[in-house]
Amino acid sequence: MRSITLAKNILVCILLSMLLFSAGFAATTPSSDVYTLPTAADTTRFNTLLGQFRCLVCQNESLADSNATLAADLRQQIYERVLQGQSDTDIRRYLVTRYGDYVLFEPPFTLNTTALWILPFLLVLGGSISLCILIQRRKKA
Amino acid sequence: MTLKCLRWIPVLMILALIAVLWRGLYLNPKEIPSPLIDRPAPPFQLPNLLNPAVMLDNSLLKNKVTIVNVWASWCAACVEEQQFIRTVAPSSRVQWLGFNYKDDRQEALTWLQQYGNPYNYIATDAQGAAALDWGIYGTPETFVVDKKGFIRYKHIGPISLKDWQKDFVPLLTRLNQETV
Repeated sequence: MRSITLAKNILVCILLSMLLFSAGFAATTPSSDVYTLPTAADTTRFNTLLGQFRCLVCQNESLADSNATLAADLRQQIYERVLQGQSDTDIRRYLVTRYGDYVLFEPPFTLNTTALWILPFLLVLGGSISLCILIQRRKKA
Repeated sequence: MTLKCLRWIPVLMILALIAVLWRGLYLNPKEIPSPLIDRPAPPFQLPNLLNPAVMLDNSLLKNKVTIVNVWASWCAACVEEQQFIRTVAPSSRVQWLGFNYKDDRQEALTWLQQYGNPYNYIATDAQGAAALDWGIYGTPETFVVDKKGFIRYKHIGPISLKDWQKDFVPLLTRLNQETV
């Protein structure tokens, strides 16, 4: 009986912390530039892509937001590639081969980024478990 | 007993966090590692600044260790770097290729007159198109290309005497000894 309550408490902790993080995934700002694409789908794709890449000059801005000339050049490149009908993967590869994983706001899961991707989940899990154990022990006392 | 050991976990975690953040304090976020290291220099075909009728391309990089230095007349840090390059370039035993980035030709020529020209060749990329292929995102930036035409090192920002002695000299000596 006790272990079931413990498991339930842990689950609640995890769910609550997930709620906390969910606010982080806000929508990206569409590019204000005057790029005209043939279809609405292309325009959406273009704007989504711009939001996914980091400008290398103003490092915390996306290519959609940045006013740096480099960002304008890269917007133009992405625009031309969307027009040509290149896939998102192709466009991503174009940028990554030149500027590295750094241009991606969402870094890929590699050996270098294992800690980055796994640690938050481990911390939430570890935190939830220790919190619940603590609560159970207090209840008993 | 086990619970007593567990008590140390938060302490260890905080120490680990401090270590990570401490290291972070001494990293320069402006220095983005280039994915082009140990890869062939991207193809380029750009007009020679001093003689625009002549095009410069990758054949320039063959059989010579080359330093590709990205500069522009609008770049303030380049002035200071230029003074330094002029002191080391003549005795460096490597080829210096200036990469004039997004510049006006006339202003670039005036700038060279004013601050000197240590380069063997200068390629001009007025549109910044070749610069995208090289992963250039600012000035000054410096690449070291080996005799096979592979990029072996990239330096971000002006080269200081310390950078030169620590990062460039040993590498250039090594690359000069390599056979094609």
